[in-house]
Amino acid sequence: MKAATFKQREQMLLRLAEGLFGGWMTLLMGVGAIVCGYVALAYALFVGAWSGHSGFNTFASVSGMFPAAAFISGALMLVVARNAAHTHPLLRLAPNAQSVLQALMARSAVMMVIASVPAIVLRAHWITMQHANQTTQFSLHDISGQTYLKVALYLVAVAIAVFITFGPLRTAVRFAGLPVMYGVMPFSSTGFSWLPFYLCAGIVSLKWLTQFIAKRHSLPSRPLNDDRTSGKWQEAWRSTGELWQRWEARQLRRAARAHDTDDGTVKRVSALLAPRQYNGFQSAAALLGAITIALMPGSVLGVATAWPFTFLISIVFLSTPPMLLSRIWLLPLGAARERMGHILAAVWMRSVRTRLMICVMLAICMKGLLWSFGWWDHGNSMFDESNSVRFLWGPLAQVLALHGVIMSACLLVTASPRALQWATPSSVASFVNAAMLCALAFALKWVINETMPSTVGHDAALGVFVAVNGLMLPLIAWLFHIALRRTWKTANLAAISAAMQAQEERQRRAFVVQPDRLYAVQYPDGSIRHERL
Amino acid sequence: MNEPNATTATTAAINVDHLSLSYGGVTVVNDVSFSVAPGSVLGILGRNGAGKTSLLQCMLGLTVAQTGTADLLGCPSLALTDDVKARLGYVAQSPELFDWLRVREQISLIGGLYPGWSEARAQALCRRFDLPDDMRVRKLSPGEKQRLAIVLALAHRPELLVFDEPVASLDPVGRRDFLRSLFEQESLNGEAVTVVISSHLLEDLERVATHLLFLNHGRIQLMGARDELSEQVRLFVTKHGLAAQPGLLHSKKLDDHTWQHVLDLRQFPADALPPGTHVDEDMHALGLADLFVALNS
Repeated sequence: MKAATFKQREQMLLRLAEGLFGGWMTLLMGVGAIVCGYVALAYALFVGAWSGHSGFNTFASVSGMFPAAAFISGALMLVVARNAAHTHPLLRLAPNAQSVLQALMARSAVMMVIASVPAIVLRAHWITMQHANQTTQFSLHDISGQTYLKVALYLVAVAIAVFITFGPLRTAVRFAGLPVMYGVMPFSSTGFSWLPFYLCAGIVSLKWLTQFIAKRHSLPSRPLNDDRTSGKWQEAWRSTGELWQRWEARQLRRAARAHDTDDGTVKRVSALLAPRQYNGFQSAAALLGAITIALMPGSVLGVATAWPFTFLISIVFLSTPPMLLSRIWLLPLGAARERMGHILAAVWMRSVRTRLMICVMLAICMKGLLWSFGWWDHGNSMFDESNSVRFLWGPLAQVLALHGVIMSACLLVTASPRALQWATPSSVASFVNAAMLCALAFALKWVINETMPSTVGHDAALGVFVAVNGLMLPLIAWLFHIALRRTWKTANLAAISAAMQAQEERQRRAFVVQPDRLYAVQYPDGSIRHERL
Repeated sequence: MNEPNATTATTAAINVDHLSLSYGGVTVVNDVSFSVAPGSVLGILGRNGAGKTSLLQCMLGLTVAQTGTADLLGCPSLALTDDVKARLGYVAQSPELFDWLRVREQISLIGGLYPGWSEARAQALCRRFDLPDDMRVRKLSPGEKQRLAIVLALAHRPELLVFDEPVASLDPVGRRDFLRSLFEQESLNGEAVTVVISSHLLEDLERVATHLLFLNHGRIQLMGARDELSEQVRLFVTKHGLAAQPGLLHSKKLDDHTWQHVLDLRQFPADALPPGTHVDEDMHALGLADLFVALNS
């Protein structure tokens, strides 16, 4: 009887975890990450390696990322369960839900402990190998206790930062991917290690700024179904940037005068959608890009393991504003059906370029600040690069590559209306970037290095980085886009619009500011407890 | 339906006392007080943005009001016990379901939390509402999601049901099934089921509601038993305007320069009427739809 009850309860917990954390695939990924970590740990434990062997270095660093991701995501699971207990109507009004959620939180904590072992050991393994004698064989026994402690403290600190940012401080959990992503990266330099903390601080600041603007303009801190307040948020944001408004007005005037050509259509559609193109994801993308450009040394770009960064950042840039294709199709804007993909890509790229410009300006300011305070040298000392690479060629290469990768992703995403109908643009973009573009870029790099041995060296690596990401990828994506152009003739525009609207709704919800208040609640037994409701 | 003082908090299924809620500079619920007797069906009406959803959320303790309290089944809504929660059913305007689960998984997950959950009843409701039990929730249409939320709210035979625009996304068949389920609803312990429905579908409310509450800009504009309101709230046309009085709900000048007034005769002083006015001859009774339009035009 007890076994049956236990089984029933565990099944319910599993189902609740599935419902709250994003489906069985997410749970499977978490389990897979931990298993992968333990397999790698067993390998590292029983097979020694030459510390100078780059393949094993990469293996240790990459396999250590999976359990680290599971560990930090455990903190996020705690946050989601905790928030659901307070805010999910179904669970808040269901009896016994609180005890079930507490049990789920306990299991998340156990999962964190299980994931922490391979995460700490493999990360410590990689860090030690970086500084070990290149010619000696290396095993787990060569790692010092201090390294283990440092790594453990770092991972715990990131998990705590994530928990506090998205838990008690109540920022939108949708942004949690950024600090988690940077927290799992196997950085050993001090400057990069701080990135997850900078991001958490940035996300909290963004929330407080939103609340400050809301207070200043007497706006509700959450969306209301009320004619008296709708649109006031957008007005408030716009009124904070007079310069931006003037630039936008100029764009609108220019668009209205556009000739009746394909480019003119794109201009008119862009102008029509311009007021819709503001959301916090775009600010987040510009900020994230700026941080990376300011902090990432140019010489690192030659190393293949640094390339995926560009792809990860471009995914955030591709959280594009939704476009109501049905509306565009029905308005007399001169949009031919098979040109819809091109229009989508062009409009998104206009918005991306604006954010890239802001990102570059922010990066220049950040770089100047870092340089003037001398912080830059601290994090960058290990790379030993020239000033021209550090301040000019490196950032320029990053911007060109970022532009190229985003453009390629835009072209690939908009090539297939079926993919857009099936999923949201950002999820298609994530897949395209992670699976296709990244693999293609590595393949192109390999081909260039094999056919032109002179490009293998440190000096030419930056050029290869720009050539592959900034030129070749967009060219291949454009050819692909042109080849599939005819599929737009039979595209289901209503379904694509609906998918984009669903994405917009999710993005809007991500920016709903939750009030930070504790309430004194008197329970029927007379006790008074403080609760965050 | 009674004024708060007329029905004690222990006997009322719902007791709302001076609830107010503001977001930023906008007051969405403004000093609302009422109580609902067990077995009543209260229809809450108002235009978009009148504060219906906010009122229901404050009443259920999902949102915390700045001032005032609400008791559900004798328990403060901010400190609902598991026992009271087990006797509650709620359908939100946009139901927050677990998108990643299948319909049957969702039902089994939520059902597992309720002590009085009947799997057979849940299955019967699913069949009645024609829900595909193997489909993932995120793939359901808005109407199907709404039907699933209704099944989740009804299956444990609650004593108190709160519906926020439950039929907005339903087709006529779905609406008919929903109303039929309401009529057939029996609570687990045999107590009369109390229902609160916020809806714009006035013909549906006219069929089920025993009491009505009109909300306007967060304030109660009019409330009472449906029969009483149809008797006592009248449309009155005069050549001249009437001075502001308690019971004068709405006045409007028409194109022919006459004045149209909506009067609540329970409060409107008889001596304030123009001399020689006969209620039955000079004043017109209003249907629910006409009353709604007259109050909000």
